Amino acid sequence: MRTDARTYTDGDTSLERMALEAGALGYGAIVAVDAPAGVFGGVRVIPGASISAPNPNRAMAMVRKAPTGAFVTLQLGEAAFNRAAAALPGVHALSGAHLCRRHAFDHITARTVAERGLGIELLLDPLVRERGSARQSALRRYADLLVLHERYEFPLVLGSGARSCLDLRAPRAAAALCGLFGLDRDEVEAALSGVESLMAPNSPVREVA
Amino acid sequence: MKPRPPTLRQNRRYVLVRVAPSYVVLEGKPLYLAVAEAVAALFGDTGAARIDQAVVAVMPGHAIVRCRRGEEERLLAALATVTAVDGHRLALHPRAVSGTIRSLKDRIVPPPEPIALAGGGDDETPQRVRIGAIRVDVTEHDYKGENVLHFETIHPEDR
Repeated sequence: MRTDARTYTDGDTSLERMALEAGALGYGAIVAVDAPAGVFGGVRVIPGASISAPNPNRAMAMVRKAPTGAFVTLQLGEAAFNRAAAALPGVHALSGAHLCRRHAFDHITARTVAERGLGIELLLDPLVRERGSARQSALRRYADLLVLHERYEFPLVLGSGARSCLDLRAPRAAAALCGLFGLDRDEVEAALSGVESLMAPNSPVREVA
Repeated sequence: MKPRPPTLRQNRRYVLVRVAPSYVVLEGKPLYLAVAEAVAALFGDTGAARIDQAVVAVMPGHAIVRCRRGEEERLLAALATVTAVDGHRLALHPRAVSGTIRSLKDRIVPPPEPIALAGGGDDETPQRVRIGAIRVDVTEHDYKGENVLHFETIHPEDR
């Protein structure tokens, strides 16, 4: 099931309308930050929690307060923070790679992310909305992430970052945009299906009773 | 001027895009300029020359954009970065790519007619337009007098 990993409902579009428009584009689910769970027009709404914190301790406290069943993403920052963030329990994906300094997301963080089964969220928003150096920077960061992704094979998830239903992009358009930094169509499909597997990771069978 | 024989002509591909919101009245030239700006911003002048994009048809809710064969993905990427045309906020969603305009026109599904809901439309009350079964678009004027769109749905009790 294709999932848009990040939408917001604090813009000009209601939650139900956002879900309906995403469904019309071919998505089966959306992650809506700070919104309740639900199903609208056959499109599942997964509540999202987007956490931005100045230090790992504060991040840990905020992750604990995230609603149950939410898709929790933590904003990347400096290198030391990122290494700690990759080891935090309760986080599903790390986001904001395009805003990081160069080398702030390094190979050690990438290896930890892969070992812990976290995802890295790629937002289409900077590619769509930005122009000039800001978009070039985002493309460079994403291309650099792909080098680490190929080496350590951590999962990727794709989100539009839409605050309006006009900001949503169809999977085919998302694939074309991702092609700009070298992500091929199969990888884009895997990234669009990544939220479900991150929220229900494969783990060894445990005997509970 | 004598037309070139078919074997010497450039091979082209045509992209059918759905315009959202579907009731925005588009003209060819503003759309062409918006697409050309998006292509040039993303790929530069050299890339734009290679893509050789042009808007060949504009219909209600849809448009057909042309490019050189093999450059479809680049054109799709550029179309995804178009966020406004002639001051109207919109999105261009790709629906199909083909080698002929006719096959694309066969795939066009006419968008539902917007139905103005009762009340509103003046400076103080927002205008509400129903699109299809439950989608409602609300247009109101902000303090600058510009139109602001909100995208909602019909309240469950009113369905």
